[in-house]
Amino acid sequence: MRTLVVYVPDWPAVAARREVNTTAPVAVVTHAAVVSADPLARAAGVVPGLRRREAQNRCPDLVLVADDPLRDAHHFEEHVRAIENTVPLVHIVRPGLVAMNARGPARFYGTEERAAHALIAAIGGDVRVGIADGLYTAHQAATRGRPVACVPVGGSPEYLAPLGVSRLGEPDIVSLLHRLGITTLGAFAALSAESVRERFGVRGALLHAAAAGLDAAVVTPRDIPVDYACEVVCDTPLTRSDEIAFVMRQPAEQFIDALGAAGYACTALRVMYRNERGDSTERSWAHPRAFGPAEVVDRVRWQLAANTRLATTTEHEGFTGDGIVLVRIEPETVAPISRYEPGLFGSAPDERIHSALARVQSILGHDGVLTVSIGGGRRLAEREVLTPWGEKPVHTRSVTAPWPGSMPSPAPATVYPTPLPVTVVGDTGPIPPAEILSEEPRALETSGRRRAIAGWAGPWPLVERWWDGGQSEWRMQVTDTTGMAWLLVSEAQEWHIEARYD
Amino acid sequence: MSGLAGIVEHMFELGVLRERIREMETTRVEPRVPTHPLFARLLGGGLKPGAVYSVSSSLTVAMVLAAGASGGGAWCASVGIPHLGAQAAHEAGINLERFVTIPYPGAQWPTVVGALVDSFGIVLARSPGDMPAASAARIAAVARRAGSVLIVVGDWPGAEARIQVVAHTPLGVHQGHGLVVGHDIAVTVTGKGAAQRAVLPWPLTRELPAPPRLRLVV
Repeated sequence: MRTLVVYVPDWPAVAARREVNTTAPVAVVTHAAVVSADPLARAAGVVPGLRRREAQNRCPDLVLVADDPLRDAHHFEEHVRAIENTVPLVHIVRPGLVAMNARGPARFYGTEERAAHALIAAIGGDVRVGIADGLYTAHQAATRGRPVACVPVGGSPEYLAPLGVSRLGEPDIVSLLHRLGITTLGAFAALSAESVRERFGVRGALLHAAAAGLDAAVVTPRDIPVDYACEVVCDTPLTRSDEIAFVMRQPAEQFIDALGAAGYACTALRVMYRNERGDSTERSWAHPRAFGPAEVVDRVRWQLAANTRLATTTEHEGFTGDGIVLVRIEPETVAPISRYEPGLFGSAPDERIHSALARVQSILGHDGVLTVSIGGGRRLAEREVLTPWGEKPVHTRSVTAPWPGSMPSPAPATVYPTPLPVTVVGDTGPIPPAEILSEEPRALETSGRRRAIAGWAGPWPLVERWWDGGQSEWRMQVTDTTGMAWLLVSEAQEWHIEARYD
Repeated sequence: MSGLAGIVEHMFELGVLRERIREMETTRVEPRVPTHPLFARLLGGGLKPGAVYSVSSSLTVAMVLAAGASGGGAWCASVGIPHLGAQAAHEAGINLERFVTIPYPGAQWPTVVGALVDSFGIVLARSPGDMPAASAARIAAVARRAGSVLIVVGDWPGAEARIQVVAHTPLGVHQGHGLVVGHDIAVTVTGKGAAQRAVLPWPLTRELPAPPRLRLVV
């Protein structure tokens, strides 16, 4: 889907500047580090991620403002209105970043570039536009400096390939990728989707898809059963955004869970609320990957802040103006979760299984934990394909090919990884493997232990590599007087116990 | 809400909630982990979540016990059983897609089993023999908390039930001809009550397979 993204660089700092009324450089900080710095601050060397003290050191007259997403949303509202006057149907990804389907505006304004310039003119100030095949690529294009960056159709993978993995924005995954020697999005995208999913889970799979230019967020409204909409009616009109956040937490969880149970991840949603005077406001919110419950609540809060009537600096904080009586959340775009899950059975193990096995592997080594699948072959041990946990089984022999001489069902419960040597004894002495036994077997002898034979069947030939001149080997079944049944196989003309029916 | 009215209402609500909790406690039926109908009958409807079962010597019995939960989607692990036949596990009904084996845990047996019972639905483990009672109690506690089922092949102190194989009767093999088509496994189940006896037919469906193509009759 052709996506157009409008990006206002350093929006938190720009929004903060409107409230502090200063000519000095402004930076928005959390308790520890700089989140956003305005152009003046950047010119002085203050960049996001810098520690607070270091930022003040580089730029002594820097004005520090505490981070406040509600303030960002509140001030961004005027930009959203300007954009909506130019192009209808936009999705707000977060304050400072708006996405829309590029096709409509491109048709209306002639070309995508012209649409982009029309948007920039409508908003004014330092605004960037990125246009690409998906939201993630368009966002990356928009952040790269030029006012308008257009990635040609189908060009997303090449465009993203040279960029650094730090642009994925998930610090834990990014640092691990760096340690694995994967530094560019191209290198990350080159990994197989399956191994990424196994190592990093669904979150990693979503990032991997984004890095390959195949992101899920499709910026187009699509028919979704309205049943998934979630509506909260407040008996007492709520005026504080923290109250609303509290009330919305559980419905938001149910909303995401219900979609998840139906096999969908929500990538865009619409939030509508009505206040006690009967005014209602609606807005679409997009997510670069998929919404979680907490993020849904954030969008509700941001939207409330955006529509705050009271814009004075101190009072607007958390106050929503008129009391809210109804909040409604509707999914607008969904992506099937199955895109990121391996099999029909969802063999994607949950995190608990993963962490337990990772712990065992850390104790016993990578080969200590094995998955089992059934492969081809005549010998029983051969048919068990053991693969270390986390790797993909490699089947060298076809399961479905005919394996003459393999044993029919029922399979023995005990299969010795290496067959145990055994002597089949008759009345006159050991009986060597042969097509016809030299005499009736009487007992099995293993390292000093003797079991009397009650019955036997076979021998049957086990034909392996006759073209190599290999000797034919034999198999037979033996039951002993205790009721145990054994499967014997010959190897180098010696009998061995291959399996036991216990 | 005024202070006093609020308190009264709270107390009323508390009373209602206490009543509901009491109801739930008395009528609560503990869900059982599904298993083969034969064992379900002997073990009070199924395996008890969080319990340890001890099985003597027969892997078939252990696999049949585990198969119900595994077929129902639970993750299943085997510890210290390198000779567990995958084909037989599959035939017993264990879902190999959700099965892992830790064949050689060595001295780390208690740690490994403890880690697994915490997150797997069902764990098959061969008893290492010289289990200190303290380790056994710790593992049992983890299983109880996580609600998973531990099936120990071998002895286990304080097992919920012991399933002992008393007789095997292989079927189909004669003096020099035939083929193993199955076996009857006679077991006794010793739980909290008296020992019960039953015979497990194997394979569970007991279909007669076609004779091997290359059979030689001596």
